Amino acid sequence: MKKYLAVVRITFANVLVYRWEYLIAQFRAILLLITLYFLWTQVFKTRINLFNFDRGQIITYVFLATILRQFVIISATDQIAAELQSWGKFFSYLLRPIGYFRYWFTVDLVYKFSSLISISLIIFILTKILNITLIKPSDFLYVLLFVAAILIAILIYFYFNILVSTAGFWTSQVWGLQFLVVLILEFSAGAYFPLNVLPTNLQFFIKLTPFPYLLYYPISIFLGKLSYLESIQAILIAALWLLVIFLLTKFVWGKGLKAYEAWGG
Amino acid sequence: MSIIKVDKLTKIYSVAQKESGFLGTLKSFFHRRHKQIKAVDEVTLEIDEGELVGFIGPNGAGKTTTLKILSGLLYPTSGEAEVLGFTPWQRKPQFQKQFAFVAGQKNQLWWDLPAYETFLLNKEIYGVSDKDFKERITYLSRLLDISDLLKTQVKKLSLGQRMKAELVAALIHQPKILFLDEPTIGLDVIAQKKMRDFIKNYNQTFGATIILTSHYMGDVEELSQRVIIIDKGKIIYDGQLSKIVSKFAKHKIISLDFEKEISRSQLTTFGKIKDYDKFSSKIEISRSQIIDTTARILRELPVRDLAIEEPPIEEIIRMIFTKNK
Repeated sequence: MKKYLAVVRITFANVLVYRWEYLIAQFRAILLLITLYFLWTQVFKTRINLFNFDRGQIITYVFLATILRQFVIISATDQIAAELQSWGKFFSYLLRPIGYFRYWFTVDLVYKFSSLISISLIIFILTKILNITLIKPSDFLYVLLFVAAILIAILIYFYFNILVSTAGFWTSQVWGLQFLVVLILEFSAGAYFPLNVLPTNLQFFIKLTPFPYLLYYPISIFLGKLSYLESIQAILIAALWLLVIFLLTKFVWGKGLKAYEAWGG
Repeated sequence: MSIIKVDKLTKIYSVAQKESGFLGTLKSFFHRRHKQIKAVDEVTLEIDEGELVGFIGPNGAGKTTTLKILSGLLYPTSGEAEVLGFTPWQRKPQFQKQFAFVAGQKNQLWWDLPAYETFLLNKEIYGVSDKDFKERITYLSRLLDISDLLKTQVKKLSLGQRMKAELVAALIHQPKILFLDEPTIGLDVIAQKKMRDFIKNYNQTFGATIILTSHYMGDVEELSQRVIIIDKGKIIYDGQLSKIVSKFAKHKIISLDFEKEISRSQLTTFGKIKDYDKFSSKIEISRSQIIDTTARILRELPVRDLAIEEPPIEEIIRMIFTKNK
């Protein structure tokens, strides 16, 4: 356990070195949030209900999505691809008595919590300035279901991101792939707007992927858009996705390690 | 007591062949041809506790691959290896706590942080006590002369300083075995010398078994008693460095200083001229004739000074490798 506390310590030290980069990333998220806020405010000037969302719900959605985007779908495991390419650091972890995935998950937790705390703080101030009241879950069971959905979402994203990074075993051109994945993923996770906004066909298609389980479903649970039963169903499907992605990542990782061996001299 | 036992270790890499040009790339995208490369070929060896062994060989000879297998990074294709009683590629934590691998071109230090942060991380990873940690850091950083650099960001260190910090990071848990892969690569002459002194000292003080690879002869000549020469995956020599000469060198070299000018043709009867100047020359003479020829030279030439030398090890090894091609 102490090892992982040491990992927390050193990661946090590293976060502090890059504090400006992180603040800039937060700032970008806030800019987007403000844009969305004014957009939806305008839209709801002339109507009360759109896509089954009222004004309060949609505003809460975008605020929550902004916070959770900085918590659920950020991960330092992007760097694995780069480490695989330069291979010194990667090797050093394989050689030391520490679990590689466990190590990365610890690193991720530090990133997640430092960005959650800073973004929540900024958003808290923002809601005070703009005088916005966010909707709270209607009862405690929804809070529990929401937390469960978020935990699964974090794990799904963790393994999924490693899966993308494993491309680094075979090619040095991972950056482009990662960039593309982020675009598609954020869009279909519902990071910018609830998926209900999209045409039904597209919605149907997106809901066949694991991505909506990262943000869209957890937030829907939070807002009480799903019944208890539907919420539990969503959580179970998410858990199934987690299992699939976990197994796939383990499998590809194993293959990658084998392929990796073909390089050294 | 042997601490490392290796029996008929073989590692075959399958390397994808890529054809040149756009069409070639396209072709190899759909149909990759693989070439089998024997990086390590039935290597058998034993290393005792406390030994300092040098692995030498040209690039791609299989030195690093052997180290990688012994440290558990790679699975061998066939053969056995036992290090500290463990099978390395099972990567047991109890095994990993007892060795360290330092590679000159790679780094484990956190780039944006002071080296000390990585030391602290390693302290916990290896479960080193506070007392041991303090003692070892003080000792190692003083010996390597980097005490004032521990709080400096790693990226601001010079290559030499960084290598020293890498060594400290690797030695915090006082490994029983230390694998050093090209530890002096890219370092200037003074830094190389310091690194060698440290390695030697560490071996003697702590009785650590050290295996180093290098393609600088200097490293090996100064450090190791025992040398393993490896080429194309095969061990072609395993033994004392000093004995390489008598085993492989068929010649000795006589250096001569003359009283008077001597022409080239006067020397050709004695042996092959390696180096010629009117007043001093070097002649290569086969070992069996060394006494007769020396006597003849002394009789026939106006010699002022004479020395019989072994050819430099570096040259012998170069000869071995070129012959092997």
